[in-house]
Amino acid sequence: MKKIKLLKLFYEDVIKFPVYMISHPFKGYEDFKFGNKGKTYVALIFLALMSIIQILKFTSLGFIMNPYNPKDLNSIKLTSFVVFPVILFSIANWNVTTLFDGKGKIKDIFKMVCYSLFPYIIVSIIVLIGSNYLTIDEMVLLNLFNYLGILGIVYLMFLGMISIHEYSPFKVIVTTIMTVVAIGIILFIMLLVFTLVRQFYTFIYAILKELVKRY
Amino acid sequence: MKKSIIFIILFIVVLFSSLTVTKAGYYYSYWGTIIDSIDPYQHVKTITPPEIDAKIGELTDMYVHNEKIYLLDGKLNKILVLDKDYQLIKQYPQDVNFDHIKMVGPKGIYVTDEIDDSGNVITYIYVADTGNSRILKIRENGLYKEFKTPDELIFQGENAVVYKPEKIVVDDSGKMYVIATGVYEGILELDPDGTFSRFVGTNKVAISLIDRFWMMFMSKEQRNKINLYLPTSFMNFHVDSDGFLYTVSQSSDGTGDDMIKRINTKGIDVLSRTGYFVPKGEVSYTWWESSDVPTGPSLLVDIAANDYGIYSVIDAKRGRIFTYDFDGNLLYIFGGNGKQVGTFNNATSMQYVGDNLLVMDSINNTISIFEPTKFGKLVNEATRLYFEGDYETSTETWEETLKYYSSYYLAYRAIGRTQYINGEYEKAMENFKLAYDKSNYSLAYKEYRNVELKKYFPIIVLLFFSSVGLLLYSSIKENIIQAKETGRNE
Repeated sequence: MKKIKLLKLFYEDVIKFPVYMISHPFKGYEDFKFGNKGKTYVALIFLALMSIIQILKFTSLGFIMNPYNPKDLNSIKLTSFVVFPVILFSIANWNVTTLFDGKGKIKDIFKMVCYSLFPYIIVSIIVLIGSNYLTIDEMVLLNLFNYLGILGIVYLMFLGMISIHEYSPFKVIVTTIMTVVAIGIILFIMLLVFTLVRQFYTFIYAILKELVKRY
Repeated sequence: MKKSIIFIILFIVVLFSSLTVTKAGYYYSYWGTIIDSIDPYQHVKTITPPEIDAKIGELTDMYVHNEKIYLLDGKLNKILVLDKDYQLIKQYPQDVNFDHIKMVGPKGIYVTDEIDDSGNVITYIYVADTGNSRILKIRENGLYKEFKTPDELIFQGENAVVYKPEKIVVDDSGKMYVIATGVYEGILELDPDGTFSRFVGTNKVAISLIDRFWMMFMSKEQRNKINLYLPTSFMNFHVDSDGFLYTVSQSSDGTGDDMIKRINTKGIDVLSRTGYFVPKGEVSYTWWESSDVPTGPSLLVDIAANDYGIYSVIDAKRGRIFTYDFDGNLLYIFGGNGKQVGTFNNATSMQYVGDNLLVMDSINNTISIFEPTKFGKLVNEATRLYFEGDYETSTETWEETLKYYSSYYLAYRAIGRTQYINGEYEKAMENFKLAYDKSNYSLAYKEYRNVELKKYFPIIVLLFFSSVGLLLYSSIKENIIQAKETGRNE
């Protein structure tokens, strides 16, 4: 009995609420933030699903639609290509919005970005299955679906930022541009730090080698 | 003692047999990666200067006509004629008759038969006499005609270009096509009597976006100072039996997609490029500068076509020969630069003799003769049969090639096509998948899906109607129950 209850709860968290969010975004995000409906574990599940879908696109997309060489499959690379941008965007967006009176916490932003992936995940599952049973002429439909998925991400993220930070749409656009700039700066600093660490490492290594050779 | 002798003999045999084995060929997979392949052509003979009973300065061009090989020497300014056993039979200029046709640094030669008024077949040799700005038309007995600078605007006036013909071909009607140095308008087409008629096949000018961006900020003086953007000029050409010009030129935009062209009589490029890669020689190459690997796209210097639409181009940078069929599919690759027998130093000219290929090297002054291997023969045969419309036999030949080279996707595609026509859709799908032929796979899959759908259609319909019926029944039942509970009777 308890198990069934847990399953029902899981269903409500992972499917029912995100679907509700798509149809009622403002109400949904209100529940998301204040009603404690946005759960971290669901966000992580979506992130994991997104990574799995990227890998499945290599292996299970229908022959006609599949542009990837299966020999190039690198699951670590594909996973990091999903996870890394999400984390980077969350951090950069938080950095910018704290300066612009944003009300969102970094955890909220991260959850919001992950929940926004939901429409794309659903669409991708349909595309993955459909691509195996359709011919080239019918692939147009799937491509349209794919675009719809991407549009869904943008739609949910845009409305999510409005409700989480309590911004006007114009301010969201401005902060998004600023976020992109911030991402650039973060990447640049990371590059600098990595090269510095590397040089420092080679420096220490050289000293150690010198010491070992002398004594 | 006996054992050691046997051992030594064996050792020598192994040593020599390993020396004669040439390196294996390669091929491009669907993904553009290099995969191992079987050699399509093998080197059978090299004709070197000591074998030819004449002094040779520097060979600049070669043409094969009626089993005779015509060689052009650009340094000693003479024409050598070899017979089919590669023995020297004639030299021009050889006697007083020819003294007055002294050539200066000739670069191109073409030989053709013409029927004169009394019905005799006369062989004419056309030479692009580069240093003398003229085209020579020589008869065997020494009579000749010369065509001087054509009457065209670019060769006149203040900024006149000096007419320097480099390569020449002549089509069946006697029209001459000339590639000349410094002429960017295209290939010159001359009438049989030598008068200029028009330019054909102009290459496009490509300016990169970055250059265009900087040009926006330049003043007129600055713009005049920078180099002119000129279309790439043609390197070499070949005229096939239908009168189409196969041309090779350098890449104009860096991609090299327009290096090979097939120009029709209207001057329009009609080369079919339906293969997985545009015909351009090397598909994947490095831009990374290094001392031991050539960088960048292929530098195509000659093109040769045979009677059934197969054409080969030669890449002077790497010494490799790429062969394509009439649809633009890469058939095979062979050759290479090096110092071994069967490799080149600077391959510049190439000719088909039947299925054999003669390749001329202008630094070594040699002619290498290549003969198709069993695999190469099968591929040529299959392509020929397909070209002639004998699809059944063609497919059988393609199947045969798989015994030699099992990852040859062209063969799988050919088999798939025949299976598709015969209605074996499932098998065709499998072969199209092996050939990475997505459009044909889609067609075969459509047919296969139709067949499967027809098979299961009654069950699907039954399931659909029964589920609809069930739903209807349950909803009606629920309504009745509800009605009873609420006491209403509707």
